[in-house]
Amino acid sequence: LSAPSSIREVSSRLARFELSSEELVRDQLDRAEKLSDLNAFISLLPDEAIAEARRLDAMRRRGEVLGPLHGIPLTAKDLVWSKDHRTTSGSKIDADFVPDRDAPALASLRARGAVLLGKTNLHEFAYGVSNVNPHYGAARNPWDRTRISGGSSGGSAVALASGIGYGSIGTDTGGSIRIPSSLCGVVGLKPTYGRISREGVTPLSWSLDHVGPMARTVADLVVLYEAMSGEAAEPAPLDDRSPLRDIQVALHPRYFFENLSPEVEGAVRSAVTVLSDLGASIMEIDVPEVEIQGTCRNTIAFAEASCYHEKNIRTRPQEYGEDTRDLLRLGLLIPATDYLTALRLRRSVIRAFGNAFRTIDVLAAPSTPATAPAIGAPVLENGEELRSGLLRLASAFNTTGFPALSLPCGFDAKGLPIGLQLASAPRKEALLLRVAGILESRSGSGRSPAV
Amino acid sequence: MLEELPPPEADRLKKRFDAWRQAMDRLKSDAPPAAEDEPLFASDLEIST
Repeated sequence: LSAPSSIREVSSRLARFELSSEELVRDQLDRAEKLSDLNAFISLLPDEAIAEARRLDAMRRRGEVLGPLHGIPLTAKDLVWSKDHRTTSGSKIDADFVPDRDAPALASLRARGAVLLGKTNLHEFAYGVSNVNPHYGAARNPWDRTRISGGSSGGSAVALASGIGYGSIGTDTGGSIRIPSSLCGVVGLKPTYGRISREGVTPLSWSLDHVGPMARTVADLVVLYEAMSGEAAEPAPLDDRSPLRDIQVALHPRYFFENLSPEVEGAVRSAVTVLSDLGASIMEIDVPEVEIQGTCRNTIAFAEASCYHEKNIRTRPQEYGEDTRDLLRLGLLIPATDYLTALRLRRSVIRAFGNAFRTIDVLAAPSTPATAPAIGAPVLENGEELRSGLLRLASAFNTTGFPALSLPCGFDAKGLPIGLQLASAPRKEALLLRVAGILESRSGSGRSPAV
Repeated sequence: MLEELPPPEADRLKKRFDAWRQAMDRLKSDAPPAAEDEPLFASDLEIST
């Protein structure tokens, strides 16, 4: 199988007519078929993708280029609505749902010339972190097929890690972009709440849901984020030995560095040392309110998800997988008073993190406390229960709505990727992408799985 | 609802609910009182700077 390259590299080959979009799309579809055992996709769209690539090739020959994504194949999580293509949300309930329009997040990429290769696998209705889907199969980790991809945007991460597509649209309600990015060794950004439209994306929990890009490298992530948000990223300075000299990076030892697998802690602390070597000031902070964020987030997510699914969970419960069904039934039992208390306390968490980010630029932490566990394992390597363990470090930035990304920062002794999480104040995505891009350029974007 | 479910499903749900209830009670016992200006609805949580 051919080796993947970056958006910039493949774009310049397309611009020089060394490669056509049709050839690229056919190669990528072939790769996806050969790697179908990974269960990265719920649907591939070969006829539509090839037809669109031909149209874009013809435009290019006429000198009409839509932008840096012209002719570039991408994927989207299968709860992002795609016009005239079924959007299952990883469920049996919506197995035949065919939207009449694209989600704006997808439309913005298509308007800049992206070609949709297919719709990626996810945890049923995005309501889980393992991506073991009872209807479409478990998305398998390309670094070790016996292990989970993480979820809920697991198919997107698997596709990218195995060289299929140059980006993907994911969603994140408690870590669903960053968890699979961490476990599969790719990069993913959960922007500020509301920064990228949630319209045309099947909701899980409307006040916690975020839409964002995933990619193999930070450089590619920047291209996708700029297209999806309309915001320009900050360029990284060239030939500067201390490009982060104006950046305050904070560690939060309590909570974010508690109960980690030793290899995860070691890799994240090494990445922080690199940030320091690049000029960043490193300090420690403590936000006591972080301790309540998990219960706030769970309560809000349980209530909102069950509100959205109320009719179906009451009338068609057996069409849901067991874990999603259990969580949706649990949400029906949450009193309104507790939901409102969680919303009220959430405000205090947001305020506390907002105050902390007045004195720091970036919070650095692990994305997940351990690397990918085996499919079916109930606990992580650090002993935490699977669901609560994988949500713990990522979900604080859903509770607050502050932006956060995950990028690879090393491997454990089994060869499994480790993710570094960087978070910032609201609307500081450009800063996050600059710091992550500098870190990536100095430490390399890493290796690819031998698929 | 618990009474309507077959025993294995009811047991699982009760276990999950009890765990959540315990966490929420702990949260409420430690929580500060509501201020009059506290927003109560999700729309208030749109981030603005």
